Amino acid sequence: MPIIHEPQPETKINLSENGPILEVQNLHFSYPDGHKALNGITLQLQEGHKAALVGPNGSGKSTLMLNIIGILHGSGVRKINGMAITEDNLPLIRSQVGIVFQNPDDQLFSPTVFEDVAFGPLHMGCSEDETRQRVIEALAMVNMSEYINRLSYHLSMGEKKRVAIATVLSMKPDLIILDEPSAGLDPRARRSLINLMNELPQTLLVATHDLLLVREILPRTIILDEGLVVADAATEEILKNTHLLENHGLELPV
Amino acid sequence: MNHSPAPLHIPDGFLNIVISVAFWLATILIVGLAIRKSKATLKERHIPLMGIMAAFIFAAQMINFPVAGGTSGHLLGGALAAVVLGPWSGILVMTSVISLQALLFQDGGLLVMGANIFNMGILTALIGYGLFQIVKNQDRGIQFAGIAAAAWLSVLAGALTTSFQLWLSSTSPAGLVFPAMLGVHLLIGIGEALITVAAFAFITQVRPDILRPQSAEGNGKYGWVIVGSIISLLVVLISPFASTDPDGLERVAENLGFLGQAQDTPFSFLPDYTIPFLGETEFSTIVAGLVGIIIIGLIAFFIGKAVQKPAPVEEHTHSN
Amino acid sequence: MFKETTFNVYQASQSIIHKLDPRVKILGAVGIILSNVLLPDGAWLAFGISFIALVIMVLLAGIAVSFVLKRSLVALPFVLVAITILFTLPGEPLVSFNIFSWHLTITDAGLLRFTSILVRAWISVQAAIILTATTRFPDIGHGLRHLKIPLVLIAILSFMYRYLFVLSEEATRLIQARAARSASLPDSPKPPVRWQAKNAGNMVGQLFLRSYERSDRVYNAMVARGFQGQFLTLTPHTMVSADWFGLAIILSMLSLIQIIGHFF
Repeated sequence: MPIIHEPQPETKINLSENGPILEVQNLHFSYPDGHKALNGITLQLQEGHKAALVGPNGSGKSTLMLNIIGILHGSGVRKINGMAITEDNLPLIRSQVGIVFQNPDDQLFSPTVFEDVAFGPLHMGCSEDETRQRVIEALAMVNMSEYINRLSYHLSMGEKKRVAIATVLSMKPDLIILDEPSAGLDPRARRSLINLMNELPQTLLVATHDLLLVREILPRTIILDEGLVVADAATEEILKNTHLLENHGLELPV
Repeated sequence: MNHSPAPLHIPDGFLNIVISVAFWLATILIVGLAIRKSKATLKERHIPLMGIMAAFIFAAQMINFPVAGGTSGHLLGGALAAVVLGPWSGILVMTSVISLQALLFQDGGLLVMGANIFNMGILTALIGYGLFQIVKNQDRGIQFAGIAAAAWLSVLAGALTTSFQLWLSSTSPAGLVFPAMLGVHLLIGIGEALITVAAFAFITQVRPDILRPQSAEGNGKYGWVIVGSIISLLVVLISPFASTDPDGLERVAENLGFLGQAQDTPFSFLPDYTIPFLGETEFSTIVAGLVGIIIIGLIAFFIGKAVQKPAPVEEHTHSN
Repeated sequence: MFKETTFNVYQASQSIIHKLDPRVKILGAVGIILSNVLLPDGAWLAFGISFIALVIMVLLAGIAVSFVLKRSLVALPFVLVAITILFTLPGEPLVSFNIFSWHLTITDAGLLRFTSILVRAWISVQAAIILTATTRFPDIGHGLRHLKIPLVLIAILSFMYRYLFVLSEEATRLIQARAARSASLPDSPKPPVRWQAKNAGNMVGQLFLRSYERSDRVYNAMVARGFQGQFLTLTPHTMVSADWFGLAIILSMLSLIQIIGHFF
């Protein structure tokens, strides 16, 4: 059956074509119980960058990611496509930044794969036809087209991770954040996931402990420790610096 | 799949239509209220929290402990749900559990679901929360005793109403259903009490902050105390009476006029072109005729739709 | 104990029953159950026709008869509740016998009542089984939505369904972990019930907190995908000819059954 593409209305504001997709300046954040998780984070991501976010547990990676999508609100500058994150423009921000959480069972909360991938576009205001179209495209991008009517709880970990990525792809964000994507995957599923991430056209920020993955597909590495950016450079340089890695609880597998 | 502890999930066919409908009406009213109140407190978190808590109760019902002679105790969960989540959310969560059990696993019937929800979801929450409010601000020992009593009574209350429903449907004689149901649940209730208190103790020890939001739900706390106490009192008074003097119970029912109606024969729909309660009058004949006409009309309508050309596809996006 | 297969109440197939709109199937199942309850005791012809209708549906749906029969046993324990009516409903005595010190007499009225209850319950539960065997739960949800059940309830049931497996698995792991540490030597006394209950209560409490915190993460995931409190869903079912015919057939059948049951 032929699929008819409808012209998409412009929903995004690109204030500057050459500006960074993500801009964070001097971001501080403390949890209600007093724990200060971010101590002045500054970083920038240009369009098309694929960057790794590494650091020991407790370094603030999750807190930073939740700040970037506006679930947590620290003090400091946070801009997506030149637009500052405020309480009012959160829905717009979330149409431009997608996050794939670590545990796919938290991300796949609908009974069927179709409904999960449709959730984002539907809540963005897409029509029923537009939504269906996006679901089909997103599942095709992650090679899970035949799973469209499957029940989410039946899937394997690797399959769930792919569908979780599809749930974000269907929203067509500019920036995708992934939290420990390769955790818990067997070698085959991991390989297939790495290949998939390599093919994604979006700007990526990947929080991970998997330094082999970083070396393979992420040209830039940002090291976070105790709420601060301690290094931000080309992956090659950083991974050669064993002293730096050790200091921040990292180890490159041989 | 049957891992609910107490034999309280009534299947279809065991209750007559009048009782099923009556309890459906009561349940719909109360659950409708529960949805509104629960949503007002929890706001955007409402749907995911209620859904996952319902799954939690379902899973928690699997956790057993040996009681005596090879039997094990389980959790029903109504009282616990109300104490930790608030009365309205507790009702909503138990309603979800009971309806899913019936819909998916046939653990409880569809037509009698109203009665099942009332027995296991609504009464348990009312008693659980109501009695908890009394002991809420006392020290631990009294709190635990109060919760234990609430949990025990909640199970007993469910057994009592189930027995009434079965007796009035002429499915089981009063002299047997009351002592049997109540006797069994006296013991089952002890298991419920123990595990509910232990769970509550664990939760308040590890995350005492969780219990705070729900006190906002049950505002007007004296109302809850009164309702919970009255129901508990009724349970405590009626249970021994019903178990030991079933003849007395039948006499009372006859005097109140509803025993003959419900018990002799199950409610017969349209016997001999008349409707009961209206008697053999012309009015009931007319009503019976109307029902027939409506049914025939519906069938004609369905066939008409079936042979019609399909209408153009409309947008079908539903929101709440 | 818990196995993934316990959730497999749905039997996948491409039969015409499977393809029917979920609304029609839900109304059909509820209709048969209602029809049963409205039939008077002893309406054997009508009950028989209802049963045959169900058998036809099972065959059309391509479900194994043994599957339906096995699952229908779930109503069995409640039969014990009704069994005493055999002896206690006043009527003509049929057969007497002695058990222990009791002298029991089965009356004709009692037998009629008991067997009618049994037949009603058995037919009803099978109708419900056929519904779940031919309709996936998400589609049952859509059907209920079409039938105007409030979206909030359906949404809650959907979340519950989604996380049923996950949480049940967690509960199983807790139970297995406890079992692995529940060693006992031949002569040592069994631990007291109170202690066992405390452990079970701790496990329940543990499961509660994990579930509660999980719901926070799920909420974050929803919010990150644009959820603002208003739950939206698609309802992908439209009624086609076969569905309307199905409704017409069901209503005709049930009316026929009612007429036969009340006048013959």
